[in-house]
Amino acid sequence: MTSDPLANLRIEFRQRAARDRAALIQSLAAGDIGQVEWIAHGLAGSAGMFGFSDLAEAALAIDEAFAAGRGLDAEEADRLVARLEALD
Amino acid sequence: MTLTVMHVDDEPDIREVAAIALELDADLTLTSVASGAEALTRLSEGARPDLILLDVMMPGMDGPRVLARLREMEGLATTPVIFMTARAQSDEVERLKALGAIGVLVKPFDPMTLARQLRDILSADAA
Repeated sequence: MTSDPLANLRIEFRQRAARDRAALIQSLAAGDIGQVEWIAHGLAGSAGMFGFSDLAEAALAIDEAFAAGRGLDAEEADRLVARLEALD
Repeated sequence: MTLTVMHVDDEPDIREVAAIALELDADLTLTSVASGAEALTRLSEGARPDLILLDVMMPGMDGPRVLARLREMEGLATTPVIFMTARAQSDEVERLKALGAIGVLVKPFDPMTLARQLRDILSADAA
């Protein structure tokens, strides 16, 4: 085990984030707003634990917009995609 | 004090981090499940954790529905439940407490202090 118990999980998270980015782009193109919400919600809960606070913040903005009934903000969605791209 | 915890969360990342975090407490035994339905199955089969750590937003059956169902099950009427949520607005936290949870933890949580936070909430509830 490494000295950082979360190191391996952090690597896995980056791989998952790449998959989430692809799914997010696809969902936005297809207008699948429900899927966008799930992806954002998942990232909002987990990204911050792995130290990706910018990503967590962008995901949480979308998640909270859905929670407040405001629906999807396209600008926020673009910001989330950009944050995911920054992990590459 | 020994403590058995059932953690219910559909996100594998969250379950894994929580498992690593709670391993830091040698007196804590953890069971992780991936859905509300799986939690209810385990409970119906006789599992009786000291504490249930329950994600709010899950596909299929969300946390509040799981809480309502488990309260109807024998021996679980007063089992402490702590919700976990990424939505930290105060009205949401109050809504979740009003459903019968003894506390609400906001994600992302600090893995290094998760066990302590759970014990602190339990102690505060028992006081």
